[in-house]
Amino acid sequence: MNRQRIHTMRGALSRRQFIGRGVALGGAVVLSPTVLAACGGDDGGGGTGDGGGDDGSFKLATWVYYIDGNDAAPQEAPTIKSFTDTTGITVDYTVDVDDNVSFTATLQPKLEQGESTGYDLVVLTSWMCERWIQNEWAMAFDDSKLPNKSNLLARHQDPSWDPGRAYTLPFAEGQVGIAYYQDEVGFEITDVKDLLDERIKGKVTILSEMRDTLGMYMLSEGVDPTTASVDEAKAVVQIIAEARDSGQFRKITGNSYTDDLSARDAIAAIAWSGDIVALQADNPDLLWVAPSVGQMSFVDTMMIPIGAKNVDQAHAWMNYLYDPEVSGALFEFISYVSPVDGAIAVMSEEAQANPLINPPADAKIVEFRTLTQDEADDLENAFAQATQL
Amino acid sequence: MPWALLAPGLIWLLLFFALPLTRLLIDSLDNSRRTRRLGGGGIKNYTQVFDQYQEVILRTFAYAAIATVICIVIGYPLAYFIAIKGGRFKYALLAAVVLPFFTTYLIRTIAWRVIVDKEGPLVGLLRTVNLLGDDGELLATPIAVIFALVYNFLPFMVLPIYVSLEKIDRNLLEAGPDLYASGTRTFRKVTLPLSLPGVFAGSLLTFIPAAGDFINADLLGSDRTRMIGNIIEKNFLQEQFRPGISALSFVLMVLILGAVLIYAKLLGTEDLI
Repeated sequence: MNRQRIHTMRGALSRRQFIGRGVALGGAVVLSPTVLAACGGDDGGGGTGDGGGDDGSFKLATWVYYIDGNDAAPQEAPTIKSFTDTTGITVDYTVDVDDNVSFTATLQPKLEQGESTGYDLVVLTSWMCERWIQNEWAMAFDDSKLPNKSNLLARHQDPSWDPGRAYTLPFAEGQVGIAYYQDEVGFEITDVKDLLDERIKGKVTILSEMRDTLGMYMLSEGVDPTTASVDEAKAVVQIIAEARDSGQFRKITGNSYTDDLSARDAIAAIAWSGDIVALQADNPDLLWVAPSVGQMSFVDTMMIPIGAKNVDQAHAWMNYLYDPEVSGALFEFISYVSPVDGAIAVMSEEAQANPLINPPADAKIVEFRTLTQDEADDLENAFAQATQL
Repeated sequence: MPWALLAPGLIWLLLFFALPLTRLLIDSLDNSRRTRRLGGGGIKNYTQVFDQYQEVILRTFAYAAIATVICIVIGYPLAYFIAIKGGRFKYALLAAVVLPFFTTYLIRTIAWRVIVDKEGPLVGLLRTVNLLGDDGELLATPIAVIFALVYNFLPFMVLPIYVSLEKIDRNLLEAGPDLYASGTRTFRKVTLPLSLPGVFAGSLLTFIPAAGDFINADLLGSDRTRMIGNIIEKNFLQEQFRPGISALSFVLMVLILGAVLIYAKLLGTEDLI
């Protein structure tokens, strides 16, 4: 079996997010929120009602590839292992989050009732965390248990939606950029506009995550995603719609674009940084491009859901992750940008030279501005129509 | 007392079919401020999704119908051979039809990715014999999606046809030639009409799940081959889209029901097997 073929299969098999979403969907159809809420109650948690104590474990929900080991055997990962060794706390590590919206939707009935969701710590993208805070679904931190919080990089310290980081702490920051095979594409790609070139029609994938794809095209059109109005953004949606209608895109997807890229079915893509580092290990000629006009970023962020039972253990874990030594080792492995000051300094020279792990100081990396519910509805609706998703 | 026997089934249907369906219906008619802001509200949810997803709806039914027809074309002769000519190999042949299905649906569909990939054996062959252009592809085309649908649902066509052929009284088949009918004529006048219930049942078992399928289109298709199932899968959990998507689910159900009724009328059969 040739290498290529193995990758195709592995890529397709690793798509557990796909199966996970199917299950979540089935659950939602069968159990209406009211039924769910009625069935909820005291089954969550480990029965340690007083929050903490000797029962040293907590349940974490995060995304795939966010630990320095195998998601299927997280206890073997050095970071978790040494955490358990030093604190005596076991991490019930799950990669249950595969999509901000569907993960939140499954927990929503319990969150609305203020009941335990079964999770003590969740990792969601910042814009979703903001929605949680607005809905009062996140528990305020006890900063006395987070001495390492002071290691948070200055630029993350005071977001408008969570001043002083009272409810949330960044776990990892990722960049949105372009990945392509130069030999297949045949010309140099420097900007997302180049992905609309006639010559690579039908061989391009873009992300279904609106803020990422739309944000990249806004930057390219000179529209600032940190301040733009909904109408300005909608004008850019039109550009994507026209390209989509002409058959420019092979797929508009989430995680699964990596399958198409590794099989070279797609030869250029809007991509997430961590994925590309992983793919480059097997496809050294896959290039990463950070457009000079700027890039979008996403910050996956930790929160304690209300009703959580093992709050102390969750604090201990966050505090541990904010140790620069721990963070440096972990982020060198997972290839995302660490939010912890001093993490870069303990990494190998090779990692320090990698712009995906250590973006240059002058890189223009921005987050999509906060949208109100109405604005988000409008824009997501326009984007969904444009992409026919 | 005999009625009590119905109870488990009825309760099951009520809890896991009737109730969720009612909930879906209520959602699909949602008339909240949020839904109205996005141009829907009440019955407008239906007209809105119908307009927006017209292309997808047409494509879904086209794919499902083509897959069903191909299943009949491939499945009927196969079932005929097994039932009539199979002899002592009958059960071995039937087992061969069913055997691949011991592997999960997902793995089999992923395996198709490897087969129709541009580095795969099939594309190479088709390019050599010039059925595909030099940079022609199969993956991410309607052909890949439709053939995977055929592959995945073929046994559901073969088995009912087999059963209906199997139970035809052999004396009837002999009576044809005895009355000076040719082989073809016997088939047309005797075998085929008697096996139509099987074809009908097989078509239902193929067409209905094929029309609701999303895995094949997701794994083997592209942006241009998306089916209704993909739209529902992607959007149902997004709160602001739920009314529209619920409406789309009903549109799918009603269209399938309509298609099945028309088909039953055309085929003139009321029996299933």
